[in-house]
Amino acid sequence: MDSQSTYDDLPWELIVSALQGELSPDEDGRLAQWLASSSANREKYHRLQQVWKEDMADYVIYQDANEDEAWKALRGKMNARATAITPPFGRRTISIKRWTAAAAILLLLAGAGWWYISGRETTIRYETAADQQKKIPLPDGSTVTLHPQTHIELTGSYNKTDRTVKLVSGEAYFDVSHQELRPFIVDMDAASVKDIGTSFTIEKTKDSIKVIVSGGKIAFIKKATGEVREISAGGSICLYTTTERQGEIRQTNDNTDSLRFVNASLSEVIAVLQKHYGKKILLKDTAIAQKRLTVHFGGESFDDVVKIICFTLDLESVVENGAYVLKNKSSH
Amino acid sequence: MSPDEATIWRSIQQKDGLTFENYYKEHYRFFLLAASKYLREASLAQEIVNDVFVKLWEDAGTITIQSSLRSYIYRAVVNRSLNELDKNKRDRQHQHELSRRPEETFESRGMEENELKIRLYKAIDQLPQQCQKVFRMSRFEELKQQEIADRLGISIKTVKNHITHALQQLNRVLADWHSLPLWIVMIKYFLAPSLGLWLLFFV
Repeated sequence: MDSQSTYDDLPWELIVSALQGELSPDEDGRLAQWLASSSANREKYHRLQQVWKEDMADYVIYQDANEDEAWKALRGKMNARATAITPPFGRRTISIKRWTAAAAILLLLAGAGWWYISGRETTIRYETAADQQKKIPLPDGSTVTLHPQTHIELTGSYNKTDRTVKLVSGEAYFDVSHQELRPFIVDMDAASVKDIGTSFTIEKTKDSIKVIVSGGKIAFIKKATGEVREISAGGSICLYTTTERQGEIRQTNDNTDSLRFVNASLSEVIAVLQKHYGKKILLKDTAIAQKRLTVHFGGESFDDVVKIICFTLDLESVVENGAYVLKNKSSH
Repeated sequence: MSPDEATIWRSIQQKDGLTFENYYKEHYRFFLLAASKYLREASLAQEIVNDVFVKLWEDAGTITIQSSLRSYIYRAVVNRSLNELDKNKRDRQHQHELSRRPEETFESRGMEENELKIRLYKAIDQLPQQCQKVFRMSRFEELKQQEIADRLGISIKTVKNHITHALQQLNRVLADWHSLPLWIVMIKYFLAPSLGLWLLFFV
């Protein structure tokens, strides 16, 4: 079949077979004839040959590329570097001529742009509409997920001198990359939350501020009194800000219903229990402090909690001067 | 910089993570191909692209971009790829090639070639499924027309038709491409950088 005239006047069938290296002697002759008839033909053929051969060389890389995977890798890299703080100023080599031009332009634009820039640079706002949810990666590797109708603000000093996010209104989930030297703080006017290595959700309405901790631990700071409460995973706290209930705090589920320890040392467990139940626990032998346990308490009484620990770690307990003393079963 | 790019760049400078993510994902393959031209290993090429984007994110506040955002990143990717080569390969032949770092014209040509490739590949992605399959078997698996016909249970004529269709689409991309560059290049590489100087004349 001679398919000239089907498209762009090219003998496609011949070209296709030629590119695939499957020309019959007869076809070969016809193609040679067509190529010889004009330089335009030769040029077109040459271009298609190039597309078929060289231009297709990277198609496999293109096809195998995965933006989502690559983005994940990039996020990992960003998180890893986020702790290395202060970005160095890029050293750029710019010719004097360009410097002069740049300086002149800058001078000219500086005045006009001043009011514009000064108003913008200090605060970055993120807002979501009623049907919108937005995940915002922060430069330090933390992320904030804004639920619908939420408004947060970041100051220009974020991750430079501090890590403060202002939750103006709405609800947001914070996944914080913990930095010992620079605590992550969520400011909500009446109160603030300081992370101690954690993830948590905050809902701020006109009447209240509610924090639910899903991982790690936070410090909830009531600004008016400076009162600080620590909330661990599974716990929540609500501060009422209406005039009639001004300043009232309700701490819910914080450890009462759920206390989870995964491969925790006995000393860690005791520290949490003492704070939670307000009772004193002593260890007869410091070596047992390193014993580890995985346990979940669901609202048991303090006595039961002590019994469970003893049973799990093969210990016994006695009460001495109002304090619970744990010791190895064999030692007296 | 085009107005779109300027908006994107401003958002990135203001640490808008979502814009950054979208920009990255939209152009990832373009930059990946740019790096792949020098580094044949895809994972290394990805590493280079990601290094450049990390730097871009971290230093956005202090970076001044004079041409376009895309060519800025492209240049960074190419330079880093060359540095990587420099690190790994130390034979003389190669050193010689490296001493000829890409100049502006060379660079814009490289970018154009890269862009054309992306367009061609996108055109392949848009071919009907069966046509794509036949095209790939022929070009990348290097199967004969008869083998493709046998494997897919179609006639040789159909195989030829599919490949013809694919090539016609690619030819169309080429035709569009060659009707573009002159004015695009004008705007991209000449007008944008000199806009600042024009301002000087006007004031």
